[in-house]
Amino acid sequence: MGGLTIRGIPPKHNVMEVTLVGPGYGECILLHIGNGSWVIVDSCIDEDSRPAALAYLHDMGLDPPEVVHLIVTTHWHDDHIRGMGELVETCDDATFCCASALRKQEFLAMMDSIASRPMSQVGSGMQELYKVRSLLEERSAKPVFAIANRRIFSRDSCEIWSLSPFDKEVDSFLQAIDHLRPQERETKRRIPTLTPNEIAVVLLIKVGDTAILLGSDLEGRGWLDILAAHERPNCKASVFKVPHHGSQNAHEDRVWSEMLYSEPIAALTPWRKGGRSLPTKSDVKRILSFTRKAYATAPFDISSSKPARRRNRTVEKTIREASKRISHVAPSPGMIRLRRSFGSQLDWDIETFEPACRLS
Amino acid sequence: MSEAAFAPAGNRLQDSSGINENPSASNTLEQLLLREGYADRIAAALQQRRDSATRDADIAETTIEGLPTSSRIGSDVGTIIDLPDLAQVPRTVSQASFHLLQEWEGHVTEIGEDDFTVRLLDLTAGSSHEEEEAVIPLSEISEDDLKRLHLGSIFRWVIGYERSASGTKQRVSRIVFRELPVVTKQDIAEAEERARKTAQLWAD
Repeated sequence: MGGLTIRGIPPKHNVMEVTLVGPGYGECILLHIGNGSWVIVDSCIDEDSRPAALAYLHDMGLDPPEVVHLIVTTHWHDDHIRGMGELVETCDDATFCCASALRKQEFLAMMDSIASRPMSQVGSGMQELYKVRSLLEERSAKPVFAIANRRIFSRDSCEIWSLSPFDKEVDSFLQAIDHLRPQERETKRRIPTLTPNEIAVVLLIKVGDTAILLGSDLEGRGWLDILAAHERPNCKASVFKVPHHGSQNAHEDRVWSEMLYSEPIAALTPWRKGGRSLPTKSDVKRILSFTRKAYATAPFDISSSKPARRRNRTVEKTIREASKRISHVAPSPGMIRLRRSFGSQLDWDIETFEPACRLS
Repeated sequence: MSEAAFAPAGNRLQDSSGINENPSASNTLEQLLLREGYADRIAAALQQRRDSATRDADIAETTIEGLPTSSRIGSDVGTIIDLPDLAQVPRTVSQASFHLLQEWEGHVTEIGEDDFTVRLLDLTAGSSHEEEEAVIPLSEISEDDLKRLHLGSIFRWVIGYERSASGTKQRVSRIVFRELPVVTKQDIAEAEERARKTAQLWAD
């Protein structure tokens, strides 16, 4: 995040901030909710393997354990949870919040089977969660569990609501992980990503008359359930963290018309795995049909065909022979920062830090 | 890169095989891969090589003269036979060696009809997170390893020069899937018990 050195001025106490960082090794959102209080949603790491949220706060001269009051993990996929263990360890007074599915015995048992003994030098979402769980147990602390339409946090004029997951999605998730759970005499391996992601925690943040909608990676019928719920707070958001990197299967027209003001600020992080990347050109076109104020933390082809580093010529030749393609998938994360004074009628002040860009 | 590059890098898991205790002996591809869960896979091949080396050494014993000897009684015939003291016999049999150039740990993220996609952690560079993604043809892995190819499977990919006992040098790229420990009944019982306690602690 070397390009972000000019970011080092913290917001004033009466200024709200929403900062989206990614996609180096995932994504993370920081929220200044007023009076020096911060909320962190998800975690990613920077090139130095530090949680990007901690690095950001440090760079502004802030002490994370002093200022962070809530940490939310919206789901346990690798690209949303890298560094979460360190984040929770450092911010030891912060409340930790996660989806209610994660408290279920079936999920906890799977976590124990997979992550209690490290099996790989590559970290995993499950290992991060296991670390968080161990830390909370040591502290005799209990997470706040996010379910649909629950107020999970309140401080001064700020309220944070979880709008998902719904019980039926949690039940489906538990059935699905039952098949992934290692059985007797099976070898251990990483747990693959479950799709569609219907248990991600969608958050609505209200500070005074300002609302922010953070879509996490929620896909599929999860959005229809949110739209159908009468219990959710009746307000429209002016900022939208576009769910699941802008993908079509996380899109619902009615979210834009019923939960957002017209022309909201839309922000997303790009993603790539295998031959697929998000957002696609048609995703960008669709998002731009709802708002022209759309931003990404990096250009959407985030991989580079250049290798991560120069290597011995023999090695490079062998790589070419043994693989169809090798690409560098972890570019420097970019950042989109929005700030606005509470009660101001002015629009948000938008800053992009390279390689973040406006979608066009 | 020198042969000393075989010494485990700081960020690597400790060798739990117990076979690789002498770092100076870590100079074959097999021994490199013996670390962690690769042990079972390689042990058979290594044993084969040991058997072969022993046969060579047996032949050497019968042809070396004038060397320090130790005596023992042949229990079956009751005669005294002079044998060379092998500890003092210079090794005349060349050993196979492997000169490591590049090493990754990877995990499988997608499996296609004729290839699979992986994320790679560069162990040679001491990386702490995966920076690279590769698409590898299925033909690059052995038939045996095809059975171990699943989403989430973990493997080691090494590139280097292998020198055979006869002195032949060849460039090799080898992908070996880890045979991680199997889950036992006790593992499951312990996981469930601990999960039950946590769920109780976190109940409303």
